[in-house]
Amino acid sequence: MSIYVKTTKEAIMTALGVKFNAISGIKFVDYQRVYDQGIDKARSPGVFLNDVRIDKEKLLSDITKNEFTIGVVGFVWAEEDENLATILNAFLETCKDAVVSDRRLVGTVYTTNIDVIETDGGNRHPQGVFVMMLLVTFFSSE
Amino acid sequence: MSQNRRSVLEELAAQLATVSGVTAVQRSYGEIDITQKASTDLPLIEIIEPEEDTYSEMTGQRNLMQLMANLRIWFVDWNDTPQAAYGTLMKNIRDKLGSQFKLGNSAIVCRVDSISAVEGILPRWNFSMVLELRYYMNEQST
Repeated sequence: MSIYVKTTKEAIMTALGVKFNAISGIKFVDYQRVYDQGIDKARSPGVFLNDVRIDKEKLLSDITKNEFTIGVVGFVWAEEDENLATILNAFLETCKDAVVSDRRLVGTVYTTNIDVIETDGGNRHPQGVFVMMLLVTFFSSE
Repeated sequence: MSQNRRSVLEELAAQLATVSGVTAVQRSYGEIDITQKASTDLPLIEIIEPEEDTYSEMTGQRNLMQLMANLRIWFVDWNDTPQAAYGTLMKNIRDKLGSQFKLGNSAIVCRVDSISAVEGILPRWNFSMVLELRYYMNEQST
């Protein structure tokens, strides 16, 4: 496998946004969740893509290896007659598939790994939330 | 054909500079900071300042000296396993230095003593090569 592309974390966030927007049935994709931004039925299911941290290792003056952690916060809304856990798990699986189906983000990054997935045991009907941490390895100029 | 440390190492650097595919040769008195080099500066052969011993004491204040020269070869390769580039570089250096078992008109012996496995982080790799050089020493200050 050869990597000839150097990219930036901003380009990766944009590419990831395009990938999640393409998920069938998703109603909302945005960046950096803020607490005063409500999650309601009209925007569910949806995700926030949070830029968490980046670790850099300079290899050469013009090549830096980056380990970029992205937190995907996903949320769903279950109808009264629906099982919240089922809805949440189905959406989580869809999001996982979207990530692993193209780990190289259309050839822009070296690889994308799912580091950890957390679901909130305290989810209460009708709202459910999960957090999926992605570790993206990519190369940049600086 | 008496020589000294300086002339032998100068000849070694000159010979290495003509190896096919090599961009630069640099003598180092510690370890070079490879992160200051650009990808276009590689492949680079680093000649680490060698250990020098008297191999054989001879009459007339003329000694046969031995230098164990450690080369570190840095190169860029975007393949996960850089065996092809490693093999090509190694062969080119061996062919240049090992074909005549001497070093031009300076060292009377030039043998490849050992070659390390390739190591590093994609895409910046390196391997080491130890050369055994012997030369008749003159009394010139080096």
